Amino acid sequence: MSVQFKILIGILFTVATIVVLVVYGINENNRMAEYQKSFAGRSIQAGAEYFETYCITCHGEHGEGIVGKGPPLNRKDLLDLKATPYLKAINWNGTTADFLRNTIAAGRPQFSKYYEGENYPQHMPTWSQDYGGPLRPDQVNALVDFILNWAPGQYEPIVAIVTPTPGPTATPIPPEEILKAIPFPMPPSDAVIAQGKDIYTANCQPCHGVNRDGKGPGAAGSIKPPRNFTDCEVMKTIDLVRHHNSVVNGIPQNGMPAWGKKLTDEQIWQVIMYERQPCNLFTP
Amino acid sequence: MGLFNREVKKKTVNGKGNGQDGHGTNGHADESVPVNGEGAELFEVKTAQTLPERIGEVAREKSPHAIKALIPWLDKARSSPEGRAEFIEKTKEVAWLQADNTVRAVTAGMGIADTRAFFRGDPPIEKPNPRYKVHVNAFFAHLRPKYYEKSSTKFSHTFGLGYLSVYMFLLETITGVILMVFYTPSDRRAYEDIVKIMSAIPYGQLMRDLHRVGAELMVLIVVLHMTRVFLTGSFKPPARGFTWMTGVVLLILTFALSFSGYLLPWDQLAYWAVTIGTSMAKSVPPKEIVGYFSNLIMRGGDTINQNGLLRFYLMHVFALPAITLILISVHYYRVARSHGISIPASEEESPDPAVRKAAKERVDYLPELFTRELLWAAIATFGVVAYSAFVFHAPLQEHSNPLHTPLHTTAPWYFLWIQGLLKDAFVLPTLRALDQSLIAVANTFGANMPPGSTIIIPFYDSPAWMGVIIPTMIIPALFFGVPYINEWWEKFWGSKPSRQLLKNRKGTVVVAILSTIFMMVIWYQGTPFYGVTAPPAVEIGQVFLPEEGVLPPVPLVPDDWGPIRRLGYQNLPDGTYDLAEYETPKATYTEFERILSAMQQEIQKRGQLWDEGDKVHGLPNPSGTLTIEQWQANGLKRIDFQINWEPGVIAASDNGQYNRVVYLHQDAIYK
Amino acid sequence: MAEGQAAAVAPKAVPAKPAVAPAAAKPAGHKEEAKGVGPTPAEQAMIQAPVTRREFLNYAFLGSLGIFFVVFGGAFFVFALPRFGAGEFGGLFTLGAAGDVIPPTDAAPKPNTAARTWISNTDKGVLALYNVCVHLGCLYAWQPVTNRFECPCHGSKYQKDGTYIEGPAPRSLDRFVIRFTDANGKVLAETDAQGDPLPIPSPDAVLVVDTGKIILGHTHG
Repeated sequence: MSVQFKILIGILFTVATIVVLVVYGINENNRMAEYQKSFAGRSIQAGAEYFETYCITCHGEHGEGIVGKGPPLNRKDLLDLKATPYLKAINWNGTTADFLRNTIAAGRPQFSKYYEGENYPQHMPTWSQDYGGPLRPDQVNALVDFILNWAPGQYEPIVAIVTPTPGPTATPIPPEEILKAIPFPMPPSDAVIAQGKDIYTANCQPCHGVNRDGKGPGAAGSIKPPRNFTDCEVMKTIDLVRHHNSVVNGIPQNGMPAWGKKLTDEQIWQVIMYERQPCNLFTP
Repeated sequence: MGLFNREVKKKTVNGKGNGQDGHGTNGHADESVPVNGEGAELFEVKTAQTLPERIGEVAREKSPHAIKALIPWLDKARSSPEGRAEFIEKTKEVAWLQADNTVRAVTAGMGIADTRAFFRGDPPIEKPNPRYKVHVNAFFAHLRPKYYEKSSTKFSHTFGLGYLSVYMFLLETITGVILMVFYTPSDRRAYEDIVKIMSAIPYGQLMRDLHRVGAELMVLIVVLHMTRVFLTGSFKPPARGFTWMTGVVLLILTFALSFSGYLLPWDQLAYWAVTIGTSMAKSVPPKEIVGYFSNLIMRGGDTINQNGLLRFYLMHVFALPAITLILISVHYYRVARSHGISIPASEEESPDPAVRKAAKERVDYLPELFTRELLWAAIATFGVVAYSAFVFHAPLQEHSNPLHTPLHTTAPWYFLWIQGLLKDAFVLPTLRALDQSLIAVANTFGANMPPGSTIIIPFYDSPAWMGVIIPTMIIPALFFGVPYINEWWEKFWGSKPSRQLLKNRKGTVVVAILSTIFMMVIWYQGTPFYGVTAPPAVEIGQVFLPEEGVLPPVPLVPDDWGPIRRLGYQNLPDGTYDLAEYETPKATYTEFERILSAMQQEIQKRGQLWDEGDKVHGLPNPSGTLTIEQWQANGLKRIDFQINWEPGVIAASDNGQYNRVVYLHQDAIYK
Repeated sequence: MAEGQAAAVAPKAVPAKPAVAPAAAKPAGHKEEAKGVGPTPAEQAMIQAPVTRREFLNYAFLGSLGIFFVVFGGAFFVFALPRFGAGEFGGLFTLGAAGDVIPPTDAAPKPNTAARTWISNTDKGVLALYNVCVHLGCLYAWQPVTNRFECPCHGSKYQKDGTYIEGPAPRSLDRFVIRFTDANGKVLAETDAQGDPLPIPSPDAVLVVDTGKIILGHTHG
């Protein structure tokens, strides 16, 4: 191979390298845009995995929320990114992303007061490692990306937003009044039990379980395990008055919501009867 | 004398007398007349000359040679036209001189004509050879030898591998410094910085890919260079033995550079590969002292965290490159100044003296060898740039998670041989068999040893031997000692020291072949293909929906995220698919259906293994379904690969179901 | 060969010089005083010889390597140049509807720290003044008592529309290019090249400040 030939090859390869660099550069803006979208997508994927692991027990598989456990996230007032009605209602001045990020990272010190009649007595846990939680900052960001990807949101807000009110203030009813309030003869009829079952399935089953044993999907992560109505030894120690009080006023420190404003008196007694049926504890 | 001459000289200006008003006839102040009275001497400027005379004198003294040379001709030029012609010629000469001197300064010794001769390939014009002057005067040229022996420059002798190794080091340094513009060694920012480099900075991905390709190529080329030197026998003491040993140290440094850089992207691949690597340091005996402390110092903590990242960054960016540069200098100094590149043995040891003489003929480095080196560099540059731009992209897995090790985590490919050693597929089973036979023998002689007892095994610490002693002590020692082992071998057999490979060094050939085979075998054993690593259902899931991109065990091949992700979001229709329906692939199948068919076949394979009696790799009565759901309307699908088999058969608590769930977004690029 | 060529092309007016070997003992550098000052015949021949193919290829190789380094340098330049996204200083700031973010003409100007600007509404229109004093870089502030901008460092003073009043500043305040867009982003009005105040088209128009484009203030007499 003569020297001239070698030099020619050298020129060719150098020119080819220059051409590669220039051609690559021409497409670079498009490629960067594609890759930015790709990494945003990968962050959403990661967020979906973390959501499945950490969040669905309270917020539901599709962010629809679980009554008494966690509000829906996939909802229109939170994820309307242009008008941000929810953020305006609670006087938050930042972006939706920042609101989600801060709530996930730091949690909430007490239960949510933004929904009339809804208690989420179990507070939102602290998640970010910066504040003592288990998640890294990139995991928190991935969760935010995932939740924002539900925009503009699917579910309606549960109830209208109201200004926060202080906690449950129902005055305790004297026991004689309670017993007077039972509207049907004891032990209850099959119809009463059947109606109680319907109410139970709609409202209580997430935590107390299909089999009334306290092992519902929403029970995971509860402060105290939900009552197991099939454990008769324990149920014998809970009389009607105490049972009625718990249902109407809730037990905030344990995570039991208050149902007094959501169910009528008759409905409440029907569901109590259904719950006491496994151990046949119908006497006052 | 200075510009201001304090001597008062009553010399007349230009031969004319003093003017009346204190001004000389040329209109300037007559400096020989005092300006005013008291103390005026201190401030008077008294010189013997007029200003133009003075300027002329200064010009003569301080002007560059060129103008000085012209000045006598200037006067001549003023007088006659011939003088003017002479002046023009003189100016041309002076201009030539200036240009020639400038070119000499730039080229460190060659004038204009010689530079042209250099480019034309003609012999040099000046004597002594001005090209040698370049080697004497210029720093970078001085590093290189003035001339080489002709046969040592044959491409088929060295393949330019040593040169290419230095080129790769240079490439890595340049691309590395470029990447440092945007990278922060913080566990909170490193991954995001890499994402930013790849997606928000022009040419960012190219620079990262160049750096990665260069790194893998450098390890390959350095190993090839070592192999070449070994096979051509260019390591023999007394001269080349030391050079060989510095080369082995450079090999280890190359591995260390590659390994320390591996951690910096801070993704799952980086984090766990380096965790494996540093864990091997833990078992360096004595474990409690050397192992424990070397692990702590390397990692900066119990596990790899921010401290470890910073230490690895420091090593990778400063300490190791500095040491490598110094050792390259030592290594190359010996090659260039002490013993030179070797000549092919068949020529050096040829019986024909004419051949031997021709082999040693001198070839100047400048210009032809320099041109060849530039050519090699141009080819290499094109190779890495084109490969990085169009074929290979450096992988990036998910953000590192110290709490979860992904499946099929392996060390980088150049450390797979150590992983293979650790699996200990030869010594441990042999010793076990030996144990059993010894116990059997002892039992026949009356000793009543219960089953399960061991004699030899307790004294054999497999991880220490296989993970540490052999790979970090014995094998490096063997490498180091090659020159002296070779010497001893030659003395032992009484053979004459020769470098001809096939004629006189058959032992070397055998050693080379055997050690290559050995390395290939243990390298293969280090890959995830060898040995059971996970339960069969998990393995099936890993084939089609791997947790992270799977890096092949060879260098320079892109990673693979599995057929489903590669197929892409658009080609995955929603629905639940019973894989049994896809057992026999039809010609009309879409790509997606073909994958379903492959899944079913994989599952059936496991069923067959079970039926044949393989309870470890097989599954009893397996079946599977693939469910694809639209999870979020904005382009997120959930893919659930479920494998079912008979519950309770493998183990009492086995519920016979495994789910591999993966989310896929429409924009995610997995090619 | 060289001698023959030298004889053919020896320059006429140069007095014949013996071809003297340059002083071998001298280190490389200037060959000044020795022999004649011009090129030797061999050198002369080389200088005037035509370009061979090999020589041309060498120059082409050198040139292509040069271009390569220039291109690679260009790639590095583009790589290393900081890019300013929206919301970062150097990029665009979309502040909001004119009715919300622009103060009335009789009120004090409103600062925006992220965009480093004062939004100043004068009779002639709106300005986004760069909040850095054009003298030596301190941040000037609005003084409600004297109804003007005053810089605390060396006392430069400016009117509400940025015009220089007094002080060591060399010119009036610098301002950013602003534009008003409608809800879809179509541009309704944009600051002219002089940097004059921009009248508000409507209270719904969205104010966008382009902190990447600065217009220097007019120098004063």
